[in-house]
Amino acid sequence: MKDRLENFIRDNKKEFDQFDPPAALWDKIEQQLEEKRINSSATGIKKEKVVRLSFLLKMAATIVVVLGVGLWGYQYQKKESADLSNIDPKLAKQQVHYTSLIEAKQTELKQIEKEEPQLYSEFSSEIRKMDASYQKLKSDLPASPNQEETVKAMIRNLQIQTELLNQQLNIIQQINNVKKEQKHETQQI
Amino acid sequence: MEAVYVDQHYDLVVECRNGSRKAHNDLYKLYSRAMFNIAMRILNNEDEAADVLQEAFIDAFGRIGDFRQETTFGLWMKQIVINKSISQLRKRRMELISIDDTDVEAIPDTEIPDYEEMELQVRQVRAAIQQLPDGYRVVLTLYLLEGYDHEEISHILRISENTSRTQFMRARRKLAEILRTRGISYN
Repeated sequence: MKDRLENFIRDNKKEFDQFDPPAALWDKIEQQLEEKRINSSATGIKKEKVVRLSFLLKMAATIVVVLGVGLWGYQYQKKESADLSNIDPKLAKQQVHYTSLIEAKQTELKQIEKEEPQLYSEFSSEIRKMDASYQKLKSDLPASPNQEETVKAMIRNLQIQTELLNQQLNIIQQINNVKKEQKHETQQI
Repeated sequence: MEAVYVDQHYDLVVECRNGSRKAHNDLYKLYSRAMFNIAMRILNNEDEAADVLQEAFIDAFGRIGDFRQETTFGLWMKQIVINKSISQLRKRRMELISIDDTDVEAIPDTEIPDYEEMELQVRQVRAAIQQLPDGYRVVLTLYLLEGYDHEEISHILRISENTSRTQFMRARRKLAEILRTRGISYN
Protein backbone atom coordinates (compact mmCIF):
# COMPACT_ATOMS: atom_id res chain seq x y z
CA MET A 1 0.00 0.00 0.00
CA LYS A 2 3.02 2.24 -0.10
CA ASP A 3 2.35 4.82 -2.69
CA ARG A 4 4.28 7.67 -4.11
CA LEU A 5 2.89 10.34 -1.85
CA GLU A 6 3.72 8.37 1.27
CA ASN A 7 7.17 7.54 0.08
CA PHE A 8 7.77 11.07 -0.99
CA ILE A 9 6.91 12.39 2.46
CA ARG A 10 9.00 9.76 4.20
CA ASP A 11 11.96 10.39 1.96
CA ASN A 12 11.86 14.11 2.54
CA LYS A 13 11.22 14.00 6.29
CA LYS A 14 14.00 16.41 7.07
CA GLU A 15 12.69 19.02 4.72
CA PHE A 16 9.36 19.01 6.47
CA ASP A 17 11.04 20.73 9.39
CA GLN A 18 10.35 24.12 7.97
CA PHE A 19 9.80 26.24 11.06
CA ASP A 20 12.24 27.82 13.42
CA PRO A 21 11.35 28.26 17.06
CA PRO A 22 11.05 31.87 18.23
CA ALA A 23 14.49 33.34 18.90
CA ALA A 24 13.62 34.57 22.39
CA LEU A 25 12.35 31.22 23.59
CA TRP A 26 15.61 30.08 25.18
CA ASP A 27 15.73 33.22 27.30
CA LYS A 28 12.27 32.44 28.64
CA ILE A 29 13.27 28.86 29.38
CA GLU A 30 16.47 29.95 31.10
CA GLN A 31 14.55 32.47 33.19
CA GLN A 32 12.07 29.82 34.24
CA LEU A 33 14.85 27.38 35.10
CA GLU A 34 16.48 30.07 37.20
CA GLU A 35 13.22 30.80 39.05
CA LYS A 36 12.72 27.13 39.68
CA ARG A 37 16.19 26.81 41.13
CA ILE A 38 15.68 29.77 43.45
CA ASN A 39 12.28 28.49 44.52
CA SER A 40 13.49 25.00 45.21
CA SER A 41 16.39 26.20 47.32
CA ALA A 42 14.07 28.62 49.11
CA THR A 43 11.56 25.92 49.97
CA GLY A 44 14.46 23.80 51.14
CA ILE A 45 15.46 26.44 53.68
CA LYS A 46 11.88 27.08 54.72
CA LYS A 47 11.24 23.42 55.32
CA GLU A 48 14.29 23.13 57.50
CA LYS A 49 13.17 26.14 59.52
CA VAL A 50 9.70 24.71 59.96
CA VAL A 51 11.12 21.41 61.08
CA ARG A 52 13.38 23.06 63.62
CA LEU A 53 10.62 25.30 64.90
CA SER A 54 8.18 22.45 65.29
CA PHE A 55 10.86 20.41 67.03
CA LEU A 56 11.42 23.21 69.52
CA LEU A 57 7.69 23.62 70.01
CA LYS A 58 7.34 19.93 70.68
CA MET A 59 10.13 20.03 73.21
CA ALA A 60 8.57 23.03 74.94
CA ALA A 61 5.13 21.42 74.94
CA THR A 62 6.54 18.21 76.39
CA ILE A 63 8.30 20.09 79.17
CA VAL A 64 5.16 22.03 80.00
CA VAL A 65 3.07 18.86 80.09
CA VAL A 66 5.58 16.99 82.23
CA LEU A 67 5.89 19.89 84.65
CA GLY A 68 2.12 20.33 84.77
CA VAL A 69 1.44 16.68 85.46
CA GLY A 70 4.19 16.56 88.07
CA LEU A 71 2.94 19.64 89.84
CA TRP A 72 -0.66 18.51 89.75
CA GLY A 73 0.26 15.05 90.98
CA TYR A 74 2.29 16.54 93.79
CA GLN A 75 -0.48 18.85 94.89
CA TYR A 76 -3.09 16.12 94.51
CA GLN A 77 -1.10 13.82 96.71
CA LYS A 78 -0.65 16.50 99.30
CA LYS A 79 -4.32 17.39 99.34
CA GLU A 80 -5.48 13.79 99.34
CA SER A 81 -3.32 12.97 102.31
CA ALA A 82 -4.62 16.02 104.09
CA ASP A 83 -8.15 15.05 103.14
CA LEU A 84 -9.06 11.60 104.12
CA SER A 85 -6.40 9.35 105.50
CA ASN A 86 -5.62 11.93 108.15
CA ILE A 87 -9.22 12.07 109.16
CA ASP A 88 -10.02 8.39 109.04
CA PRO A 89 -7.78 5.77 107.39
CA LYS A 90 -10.64 3.29 107.23
CA LEU A 91 -12.89 5.71 105.38
CA ALA A 92 -10.00 6.60 103.09
CA LYS A 93 -9.70 2.94 102.12
CA GLN A 94 -13.42 2.77 101.43
CA GLN A 95 -13.16 5.87 99.31
CA VAL A 96 -10.41 4.31 97.19
CA HIS A 97 -12.41 1.12 96.87
CA TYR A 98 -15.55 2.85 95.65
CA THR A 99 -13.77 5.17 93.28
CA SER A 100 -12.09 2.26 91.54
CA LEU A 101 -15.42 0.39 91.39
CA ILE A 102 -17.11 3.42 89.89
CA GLU A 103 -14.35 3.83 87.38
CA ALA A 104 -14.63 0.21 86.25
CA LYS A 105 -18.39 0.41 85.92
CA GLN A 106 -18.19 3.65 84.02
CA THR A 107 -15.88 2.07 81.47
CA GLU A 108 -18.31 -0.79 81.17
CA LEU A 109 -21.12 1.67 80.65
CA LYS A 110 -19.17 3.51 78.03
CA GLN A 111 -19.39 0.50 75.75
CA ILE A 112 -23.03 1.27 74.99
CA GLU A 113 -22.19 4.78 73.91
CA LYS A 114 -22.19 3.77 70.26
CA GLU A 115 -25.22 1.52 70.29
CA GLU A 116 -27.46 3.58 72.54
CA PRO A 117 -26.20 7.13 72.49
CA GLN A 118 -29.36 8.60 74.01
CA LEU A 119 -29.50 6.14 76.87
CA TYR A 120 -25.84 6.63 77.53
CA SER A 121 -26.15 10.39 77.74
CA GLU A 122 -29.05 10.10 80.17
CA PHE A 123 -27.19 7.64 82.37
CA SER A 124 -24.00 9.59 82.38
CA SER A 125 -25.79 12.84 83.18
CA GLU A 126 -27.22 11.23 86.34
CA ILE A 127 -23.78 10.10 87.36
CA ARG A 128 -22.43 13.53 86.60
CA LYS A 129 -24.96 15.12 88.97
CA MET A 130 -23.90 12.77 91.73
CA ASP A 131 -20.27 13.42 91.00
CA ALA A 132 -20.85 17.17 91.13
CA SER A 133 -22.22 16.96 94.67
CA TYR A 134 -19.34 14.67 95.60
CA GLN A 135 -16.86 17.23 94.32
CA LYS A 136 -18.66 19.92 96.32
CA LEU A 137 -18.40 17.92 99.52
CA LYS A 138 -14.77 17.30 98.78
CA SER A 139 -13.96 20.95 98.29
CA ASP A 140 -15.91 21.86 101.46
CA LEU A 141 -14.05 19.26 103.47
CA PRO A 142 -11.01 21.27 104.60
CA ALA A 143 -13.28 23.99 106.00
CA SER A 144 -15.93 21.67 107.33
CA PRO A 145 -16.66 21.89 111.07
CA ASN A 146 -17.39 18.20 111.22
CA GLN A 147 -14.96 16.57 108.84
CA GLU A 148 -15.89 13.02 109.72
CA GLU A 149 -19.51 13.64 108.81
CA THR A 150 -18.49 15.17 105.52
CA VAL A 151 -16.29 12.20 104.69
CA LYS A 152 -19.14 9.86 105.52
CA ALA A 153 -21.39 11.84 103.23
CA MET A 154 -18.76 11.52 100.52
CA ILE A 155 -18.61 7.78 100.97
CA ARG A 156 -22.40 7.58 100.86
CA ASN A 157 -22.34 9.51 97.68
CA LEU A 158 -19.87 7.06 96.21
CA GLN A 159 -22.03 4.14 97.34
CA ILE A 160 -25.04 5.65 95.65
CA GLN A 161 -23.02 6.22 92.49
CA THR A 162 -21.99 2.57 92.51
CA GLU A 163 -25.55 1.45 93.05
CA LEU A 164 -26.79 3.73 90.29
CA LEU A 165 -24.23 2.36 87.92
CA ASN A 166 -25.23 -1.17 88.85
CA GLN A 167 -28.85 -0.44 88.05
CA GLN A 168 -27.92 1.21 84.77
CA LEU A 169 -25.85 -1.79 83.80
CA ASN A 170 -28.77 -4.04 84.68
CA ILE A 171 -31.06 -2.09 82.42
CA ILE A 172 -28.58 -2.42 79.60
CA GLN A 173 -28.33 -6.13 80.24
CA GLN A 174 -32.09 -6.45 79.95
CA ILE A 175 -32.18 -4.45 76.75
CA ASN A 176 -29.52 -6.68 75.30
CA ASN A 177 -31.49 -9.78 76.28
CA VAL A 178 -34.59 -8.48 74.60
CA LYS A 179 -32.60 -7.71 71.48
CA LYS A 180 -31.14 -11.20 71.43
CA GLU A 181 -34.55 -12.77 71.77
CA GLN A 182 -35.90 -10.71 68.96
CA LYS A 183 -33.01 -11.78 66.82
CA HIS A 184 -33.67 -15.40 67.63
CA GLU A 185 -37.30 -14.97 66.80
CA THR A 186 -36.64 -13.38 63.47
CA GLN A 187 -34.14 -16.09 62.72
CA GLN A 188 -36.67 -18.74 63.57
CA ILE A 189 -39.27 -17.13 61.38
CA MET B 1 16.25 -8.63 23.51
CA GLU B 2 17.05 -5.20 24.74
CA ALA B 3 17.63 -2.45 22.30
CA VAL B 4 20.83 -0.56 22.88
CA TYR B 5 20.57 3.04 21.94
CA VAL B 6 23.69 4.94 21.28
CA ASP B 7 22.97 8.35 22.57
CA GLN B 8 25.55 10.70 21.27
CA HIS B 9 24.49 13.37 23.68
CA TYR B 10 24.44 11.37 26.86
CA ASP B 11 27.33 13.35 28.27
CA LEU B 12 25.23 16.46 27.97
CA VAL B 13 22.41 14.76 29.81
CA VAL B 14 24.77 13.91 32.66
CA GLU B 15 25.98 17.51 32.82
CA CYS B 16 22.37 18.68 32.88
CA ARG B 17 21.72 16.53 35.90
CA ASN B 18 24.54 18.34 37.62
CA GLY B 19 22.75 21.57 36.86
CA SER B 20 25.00 22.91 34.12
CA ARG B 21 23.18 25.75 32.40
CA LYS B 22 25.47 25.42 29.41
CA ALA B 23 24.53 21.79 28.93
CA HIS B 24 20.86 22.80 29.07
CA ASN B 25 21.49 25.32 26.36
CA ASP B 26 23.44 22.85 24.23
CA LEU B 27 20.62 20.32 24.35
CA TYR B 28 18.15 23.06 23.55
CA LYS B 29 20.17 24.13 20.53
CA LEU B 30 20.44 20.54 19.33
CA TYR B 31 16.80 19.62 19.66
CA SER B 32 14.65 22.74 19.72
CA ARG B 33 14.16 23.00 15.97
CA ALA B 34 13.10 19.40 15.42
CA MET B 35 10.86 19.52 18.50
CA PHE B 36 9.31 22.79 17.46
CA ASN B 37 8.41 21.33 14.09
CA ILE B 38 6.84 18.28 15.70
CA ALA B 39 4.68 20.56 17.82
CA MET B 40 3.88 22.71 14.79
CA ARG B 41 2.71 19.76 12.75
CA ILE B 42 0.35 18.70 15.49
CA LEU B 43 -0.86 22.12 16.53
CA ASN B 44 -0.54 24.12 13.32
CA ASN B 45 -0.15 27.24 15.41
CA GLU B 46 3.15 28.97 16.13
CA ASP B 47 2.25 30.52 19.48
CA GLU B 48 0.89 27.30 20.87
CA ALA B 49 3.84 25.35 19.52
CA ALA B 50 6.25 27.79 21.17
CA ASP B 51 4.44 27.44 24.50
CA VAL B 52 4.51 23.68 24.23
CA LEU B 53 8.21 23.74 23.40
CA GLN B 54 9.01 25.90 26.40
CA GLU B 55 6.95 23.75 28.74
CA ALA B 56 8.43 20.57 27.32
CA PHE B 57 12.02 21.69 27.84
CA ILE B 58 11.32 22.94 31.37
CA ASP B 59 9.61 19.66 32.12
CA ALA B 60 12.39 17.57 30.58
CA PHE B 61 15.14 19.46 32.43
CA GLY B 62 13.17 19.18 35.66
CA ARG B 63 12.74 15.44 35.27
CA ILE B 64 16.12 14.71 33.76
CA GLY B 65 16.99 12.75 36.87
CA ASP B 66 14.35 10.21 35.84
CA PHE B 67 15.78 9.86 32.36
CA ARG B 68 17.45 6.50 31.95
CA GLN B 69 19.54 5.31 29.10
CA GLU B 70 16.76 3.06 27.87
CA THR B 71 16.15 5.54 25.11
CA THR B 72 17.87 8.53 23.59
CA PHE B 73 17.32 12.02 24.85
CA GLY B 74 15.83 12.90 21.47
CA LEU B 75 13.20 10.16 21.59
CA TRP B 76 12.39 10.95 25.20
CA MET B 77 12.02 14.62 24.42
CA LYS B 78 9.90 13.82 21.40
CA GLN B 79 7.47 11.88 23.56
CA ILE B 80 7.15 14.78 25.94
CA VAL B 81 6.58 17.23 23.08
CA ILE B 82 3.99 15.02 21.41
CA ASN B 83 2.10 14.42 24.64
CA LYS B 84 2.03 18.09 25.47
CA SER B 85 1.00 19.01 21.95
CA ILE B 86 -1.83 16.50 21.96
CA SER B 87 -3.17 17.74 25.27
CA GLN B 88 -2.95 21.30 24.01
CA LEU B 89 -4.88 20.22 20.95
CA ARG B 90 -7.48 18.59 23.17
CA LYS B 91 -7.87 21.85 25.00
CA ARG B 92 -8.95 23.31 21.68
CA ARG B 93 -11.60 20.65 21.75
CA MET B 94 -10.41 18.90 18.68
CA GLU B 95 -12.67 16.02 18.05
CA LEU B 96 -10.65 13.07 17.05
CA ILE B 97 -13.33 11.68 14.88
CA SER B 98 -14.74 8.61 16.49
CA ILE B 99 -15.45 6.36 13.56
CA ASP B 100 -14.44 3.10 15.14
CA ASP B 101 -17.25 1.35 13.40
CA THR B 102 -16.00 2.27 9.98
CA ASP B 103 -14.34 -0.68 8.41
CA VAL B 104 -10.98 -0.02 6.85
CA GLU B 105 -11.90 -2.32 3.99
CA ALA B 106 -14.91 -0.17 3.23
CA ILE B 107 -12.72 2.65 2.04
CA PRO B 108 -12.03 1.87 -1.57
CA ASP B 109 -8.41 2.04 -2.47
CA THR B 110 -9.05 2.46 -6.17
CA GLU B 111 -10.19 6.02 -5.81
CA ILE B 112 -6.92 7.22 -4.49
CA PRO B 113 -3.94 6.86 -6.77
CA ASP B 114 -4.71 9.80 -8.96
CA TYR B 115 -1.67 11.58 -7.73
CA GLU B 116 0.60 8.91 -9.09
CA GLU B 117 1.45 11.38 -11.72
CA MET B 118 1.76 14.41 -9.60
CA GLU B 119 4.88 16.35 -9.48
CA LEU B 120 5.39 16.39 -5.77
CA GLN B 121 7.23 19.18 -4.13
CA VAL B 122 8.00 19.48 -0.48
CA ARG B 123 6.75 23.01 -0.22
CA GLN B 124 3.38 22.18 -1.70
CA VAL B 125 2.91 18.97 0.24
CA ARG B 126 3.82 20.83 3.42
CA ALA B 127 1.24 23.48 2.69
CA ALA B 128 -1.37 20.84 1.91
CA ILE B 129 -0.69 19.02 5.19
CA GLN B 130 -1.28 22.26 7.02
CA GLN B 131 -4.67 22.50 5.37
CA LEU B 132 -5.81 19.16 6.72
CA PRO B 133 -8.30 19.13 9.60
CA ASP B 134 -6.67 18.57 13.01
CA GLY B 135 -7.58 14.92 13.37
CA TYR B 136 -6.31 13.98 9.93
CA ARG B 137 -3.16 16.05 10.19
CA VAL B 138 -2.15 14.58 13.55
CA VAL B 139 -2.53 10.96 12.50
CA LEU B 140 -0.87 11.51 9.15
CA THR B 141 2.16 13.28 10.55
CA LEU B 142 2.56 10.90 13.48
CA TYR B 143 2.52 8.00 11.03
CA LEU B 144 4.55 9.34 8.15
CA LEU B 145 6.87 11.89 9.71
CA GLU B 146 7.32 10.83 13.33
CA GLY B 147 7.45 7.19 12.33
CA TYR B 148 4.94 5.77 14.80
CA ASP B 149 2.89 2.74 13.85
CA HIS B 150 -0.86 2.54 14.29
CA GLU B 151 -0.59 0.72 17.57
CA GLU B 152 1.57 3.47 19.02
CA ILE B 153 -0.70 6.15 17.61
CA SER B 154 -3.70 4.48 19.19
CA HIS B 155 -1.97 4.79 22.58
CA ILE B 156 -0.90 8.38 22.05
CA LEU B 157 -4.32 9.57 20.92
CA ARG B 158 -6.32 7.14 23.00
CA ILE B 159 -8.23 5.84 20.00
CA SER B 160 -8.48 2.35 18.59
CA GLU B 161 -5.96 1.02 16.16
CA ASN B 162 -8.69 0.67 13.59
CA THR B 163 -9.61 4.32 13.96
CA SER B 164 -6.00 5.27 13.50
CA ARG B 165 -5.82 3.28 10.28
CA THR B 166 -9.08 4.64 8.94
CA GLN B 167 -8.13 8.14 9.92
CA PHE B 168 -4.81 7.80 8.18
CA MET B 169 -6.37 6.57 4.96
CA ARG B 170 -8.86 9.37 4.91
CA ALA B 171 -6.11 11.86 5.64
CA ARG B 172 -4.04 10.53 2.79
CA ARG B 173 -6.95 10.76 0.41
CA LYS B 174 -7.81 14.23 1.55
CA LEU B 175 -4.20 15.28 1.10
CA ALA B 176 -4.19 14.03 -2.46
CA GLU B 177 -7.41 15.90 -3.10
CA ILE B 178 -5.98 19.14 -1.83
CA LEU B 179 -2.91 18.69 -3.97
CA ARG B 180 -5.04 17.93 -6.98
CA THR B 181 -7.19 21.01 -6.59
CA ARG B 182 -4.03 23.01 -6.50
CA GLY B 183 -3.22 21.66 -9.89
CA ILE B 184 -0.24 19.74 -8.76
CA SER B 185 -0.25 17.06 -11.30
CA TYR B 186 2.20 16.08 -13.85
CA ASN B 187 1.05 16.73 -17.38
